[in-house]
Amino acid sequence: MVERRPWLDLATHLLLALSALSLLLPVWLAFVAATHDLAGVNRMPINWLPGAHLWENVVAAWERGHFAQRFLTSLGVALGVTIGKIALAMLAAFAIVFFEWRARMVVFWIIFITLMLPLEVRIVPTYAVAANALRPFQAILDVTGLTGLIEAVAGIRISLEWQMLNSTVGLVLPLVATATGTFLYRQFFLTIPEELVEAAKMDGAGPLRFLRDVLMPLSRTTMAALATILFVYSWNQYLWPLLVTTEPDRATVMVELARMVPRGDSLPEWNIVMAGALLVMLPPLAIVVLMQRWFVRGLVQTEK
Amino acid sequence: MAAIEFIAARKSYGASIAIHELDLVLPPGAFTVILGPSGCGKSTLLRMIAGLEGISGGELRIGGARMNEREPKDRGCAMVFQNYALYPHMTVAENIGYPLKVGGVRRAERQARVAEAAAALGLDALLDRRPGQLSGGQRQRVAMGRAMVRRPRVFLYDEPLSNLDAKLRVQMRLELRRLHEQLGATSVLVTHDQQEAMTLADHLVVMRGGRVEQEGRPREVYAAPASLFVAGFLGTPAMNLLPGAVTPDGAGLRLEGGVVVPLPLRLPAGQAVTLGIRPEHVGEGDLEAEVALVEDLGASLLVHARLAGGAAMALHRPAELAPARGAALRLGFDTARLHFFDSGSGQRIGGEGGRGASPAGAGEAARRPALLATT
Repeated sequence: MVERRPWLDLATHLLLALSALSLLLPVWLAFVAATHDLAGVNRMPINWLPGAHLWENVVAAWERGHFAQRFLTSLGVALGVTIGKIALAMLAAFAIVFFEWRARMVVFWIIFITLMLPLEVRIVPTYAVAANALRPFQAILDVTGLTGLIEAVAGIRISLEWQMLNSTVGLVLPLVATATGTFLYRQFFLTIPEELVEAAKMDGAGPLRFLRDVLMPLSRTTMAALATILFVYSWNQYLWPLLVTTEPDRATVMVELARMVPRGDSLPEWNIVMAGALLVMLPPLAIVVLMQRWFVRGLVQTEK
Repeated sequence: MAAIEFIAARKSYGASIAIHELDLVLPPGAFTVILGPSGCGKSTLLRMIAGLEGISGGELRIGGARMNEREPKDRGCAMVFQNYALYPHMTVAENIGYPLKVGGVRRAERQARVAEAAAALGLDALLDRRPGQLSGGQRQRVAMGRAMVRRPRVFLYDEPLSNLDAKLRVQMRLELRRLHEQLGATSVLVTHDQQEAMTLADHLVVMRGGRVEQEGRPREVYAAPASLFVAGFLGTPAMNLLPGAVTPDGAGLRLEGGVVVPLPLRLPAGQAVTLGIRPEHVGEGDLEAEVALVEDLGASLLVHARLAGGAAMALHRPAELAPARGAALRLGFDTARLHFFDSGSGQRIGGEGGRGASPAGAGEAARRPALLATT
């Protein structure tokens, strides 16, 4: 809009500033809390200005939370989920867009419908599967009577088990399937001109070659945008890691951070919790800052 | 050099038929142009040769070998697409070299062949650019380079010039012809531009509604169109087509509006016949006409005249003799230059014009040797 209405400008800017303020205020408070000692952070009324104890709080949080190990776990999970999701989304969208097969619209809609079933909704069955990924197969064998038959004939009792609790695989796999990513990739693939596909066919490139040589380089920006969103999403996962890591040593930073929150009559060391929170915020922040340019381009898709 | 043969080849999408049973041989080493209006099945035909469309029935042979089941890459064909279909993320060199890369050709040989193709097309200076930085004509050349580099037996062009501006189109047309002669492969080009078809083709195939309407040398097709459709489609400005009926004595054709033109052959009285005459063949005579509009083509004038009774007729006149609007003209035809078509079936009457894949039964009269024009 090229309209010039000073009052409207003022009002919109005021609104913007207010929103920014309300968004940033908690972050500021967390930062301020992380810079005071135990007495300072529990003072009434609260401190609005930073104190001088930031470094020692950060060090204390780092040690108390075993952050060296937790960060590694979280990083592994976040990277695993991000890469897994992108690979899966790309392949699923590739199959849906570029191949003619009978069930493709059905499959697309089934994938799309899973948007309505986030992890929180299906957490109990997912946990059951993670506890023993082969249990569905065991159930099939049991119901069809094959277990009994094999036991009678060969004398071996079949009991399938693949336990994923407390492992990185268990943390990553249930989070990997993604309807959003598949949809985003599908939209991108639909913009690829048909002639390009045919040119690749004439040039002798098979489907996987086409995916690798043409689609992947062309989808770099889409990939970057998706990676940014997904990294932040998987870094911030709390519920699933909490359930699947029954041993405290296998926890992610988010779970650990929640554990640091003072309960009951323990010392209210909010300064250290907030220092920990600041530390945990850093990786997603770094990713967003680094990927910002790509991120915007990937969502707007003006490159072509 | 490989001939392309269609043997009773068909193509249908469910109930709709794109190509009717087709028997067609495209001569080896020739530049064949397939011409037709949009939706006539010409692109489908090309894509059937390339292997991008399946063949519903019959057989396709290239160089004598059956191709129906072969993958596009195994047919020895290269294709230039209408929108060039260059890979936007690759440089010119990478685009041209891509088929070789996929084919597993070593880097050194690949570079040599890319350089050779680039030199033939004058792309040497642009090898490191991306398609987005090139003009339309340059992209066209890159697409041709990508086709050339594989040294195919058959070049397929799908309306390659239609996205270029008029001047560039003429230039690229020459280039296409030059390349064809240089490479010695069989070329097939699809277009709806009849001028492009006339200038490029050794062998011209005119299609309509999924059937071949006429094929032959461009000059033959131009001189003796097999049907009203071909007559109207080939040539700019288009052939004058004047509907009429044979007079009761069978010796003349009464045009709409009352003018009677003597017939060089005898036809049954009352038959509905369309007279065709190309604008460049309209001469002086005793038919009265009035100038309705004059178009200056530079080299000559195109005069739109109206015969007594209202039938419209276009004709060429030298630029010096500029008749004014409303001026009276006296027109005449060389009877040898006249074309006659059955108004009902659209088939040519007299003077066989190449092979026409006419629908069964139609144009029976046209085949009777007794009707051959003898003027």
